[in-house]
Amino acid sequence: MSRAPATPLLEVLDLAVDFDRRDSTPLRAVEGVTFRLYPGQTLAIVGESGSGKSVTGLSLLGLQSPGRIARGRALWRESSSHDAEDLLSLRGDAIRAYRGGKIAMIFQEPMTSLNPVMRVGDQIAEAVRLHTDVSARDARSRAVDALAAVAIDEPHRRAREYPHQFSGGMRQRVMIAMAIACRPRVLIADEPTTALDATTQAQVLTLIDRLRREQRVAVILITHSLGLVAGHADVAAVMHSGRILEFAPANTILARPLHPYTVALLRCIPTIRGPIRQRLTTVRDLVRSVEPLSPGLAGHRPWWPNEFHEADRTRATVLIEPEEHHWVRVWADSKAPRGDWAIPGVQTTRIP
Amino acid sequence: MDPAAPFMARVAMKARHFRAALGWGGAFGGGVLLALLCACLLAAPWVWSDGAYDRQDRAARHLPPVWWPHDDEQLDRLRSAARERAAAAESTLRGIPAEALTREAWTPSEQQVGQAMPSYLLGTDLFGRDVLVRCLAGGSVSLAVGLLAAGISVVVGTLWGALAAWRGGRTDALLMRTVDVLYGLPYVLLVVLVGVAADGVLDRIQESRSREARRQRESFVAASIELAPGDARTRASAESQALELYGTGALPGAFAQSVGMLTLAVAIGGVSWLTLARVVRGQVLSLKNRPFVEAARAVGVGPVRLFMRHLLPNLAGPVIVYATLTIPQAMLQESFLSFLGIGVRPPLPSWGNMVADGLGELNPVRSNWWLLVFPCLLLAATLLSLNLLGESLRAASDPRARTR
Repeated sequence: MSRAPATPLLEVLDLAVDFDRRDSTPLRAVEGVTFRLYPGQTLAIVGESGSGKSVTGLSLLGLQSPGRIARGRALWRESSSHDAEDLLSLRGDAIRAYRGGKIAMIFQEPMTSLNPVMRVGDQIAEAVRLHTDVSARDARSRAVDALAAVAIDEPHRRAREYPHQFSGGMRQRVMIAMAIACRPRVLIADEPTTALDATTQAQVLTLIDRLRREQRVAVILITHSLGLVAGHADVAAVMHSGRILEFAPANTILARPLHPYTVALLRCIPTIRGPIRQRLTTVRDLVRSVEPLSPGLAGHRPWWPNEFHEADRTRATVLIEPEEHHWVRVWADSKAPRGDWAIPGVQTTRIP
Repeated sequence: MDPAAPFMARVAMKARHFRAALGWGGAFGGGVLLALLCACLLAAPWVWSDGAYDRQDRAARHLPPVWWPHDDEQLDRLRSAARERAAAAESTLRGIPAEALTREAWTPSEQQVGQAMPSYLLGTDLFGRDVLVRCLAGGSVSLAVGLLAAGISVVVGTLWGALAAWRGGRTDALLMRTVDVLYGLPYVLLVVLVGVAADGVLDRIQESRSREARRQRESFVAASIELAPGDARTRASAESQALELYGTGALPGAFAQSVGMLTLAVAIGGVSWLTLARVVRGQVLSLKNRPFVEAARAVGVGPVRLFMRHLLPNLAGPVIVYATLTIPQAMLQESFLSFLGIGVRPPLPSWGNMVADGLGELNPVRSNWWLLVFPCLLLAATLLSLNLLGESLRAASDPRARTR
């Protein structure tokens, strides 16, 4: 553990995103998401499909459409001497300067995320020219450099090729090259390895890790795999139903999970040493069985959306910090701290 | 090959094996088309300069193609045309007017007649105009109108459909309902309407121009009479001088002809973009939800640039294919309208009005078949080759059809 600068690069406060429905009340996809991100740190947001993790990432760039920001702020601090800027309030050119410039994003489908009729080098150069004041020639040479940086052989020749001439793993590396060509401060990787095979996954993750280390890029790694948390994250947030359930340094969350959902997720992972022919239990069953336990929560009842006691519908939830640098969402009651909400965020980064 | 490969890259790759890319149909179509285009373009300078397409040789009227057997009456006409030509040649040689030759009862020798024997490769029409020359001129008119109309339809259709799909919502509804309404109108009516409107505008311009010229002439004459009053000859000479100076204000014939062609192209193009707008709208609807559009947004590409640089190039495949099929359609419509007499107006030839003329000349006594057959053949060959070409382009762009 090392001490990173005390100022968080990005502070997301109480973010809520709604999706309007035709004949019904709006669907709240993200509710009260709050966290801090420090430079050079990898934050893994873990959750199942529909848990709101992708929408959280997109909202930071103003790309949540057709979703609508219901409330919240995302404060960006270039450095401790700079004033904070609220990303969620920016429009037009102001937010476009962040997109790809200061905050880059990598998407899940490398096969379709590149424009099929534009040469790969031109696409990277376009990103460069949008954010830096360089000539077309310089932009092209930076595109070639970026391709070389993501370990693509013969970058000069490959820059003149079209996306369909690249394999899936190479296309994802091209996407990363495009993302890093403008030297962003934050990289949002939305399930960057889901569509790739195991070997390529490892390559891509190692590449992202190297960028984080060498350029002190903060990474938001959106994933549904706890396995990635083990090897590639500094801090992890577990999301469900649009809320953060648990937030802690990666080691802590893997070793001492407090929320029953996290416990259940970890138990779902089949192990080589476990009993033979044992049925893998579903998360829902596990959460029910684990719930009465939760010894670390000091009497608080962990929040869980599948509970529909009449009384719970109107009850508020709150993030508490039962041990240092470890936050868990529980039902609010008299014992819970009142007045302000905790902002989870730990200044930890792995030593290179 | 990878079905995600862009259309143009696929065509380029396949063009290395030309037969495989377009098939025999496409090769044939391309070849015929190229030959026709070359013929029209190469012929253009001498067909168009000093109106060769309208040069008449009354003596040589209704002659069959030179390689076709002539009957006695046709031979007579051929010889009389040859005699007239020989006389004309003699008069220029000797530097005396043709009437002088007639007065001295000059008759050409057999050798002179043989030399002056006209040879019309595809025969002549009622006015003794060369059918070959008129076919070439008509071909370039037809091609020009077809290309222009297809160009207009591609530009309007692509932008219209893309804008509708891109903006969505009310804009989409408004633009596409307009298309539906236009679909319902008979296009002949639209073409006639546009033509009449253009004629009206032309008439108005013509009128104001001649009024202006007349005013200038009158003031010039009045000024001359004031300078030399009482001279009887002043008025006439001043008037002719004024006419020389200011003219009648009539528009040059070529201008009116170009406007007529342009109107026709605009009218045909204006009714044939509707299908393309629908095709493009469908394409854009599916394209705008593809991840690369969002990825482009995520690197900060603005909406205009996204539309122009990322979306439109992806439409190239279907648009090119559709354009290739629109050209023959537009040419056919042009010919059809000219055939009906509301398209290209004589004396400007077009395959359509030449066919109409040829059909009128067809009679049981003298078939004069060459007036009908050649323009028909050329039109059919052009339409067939363009359709073959477009069809094989369409096949080449269809990923499912490439497993043969």
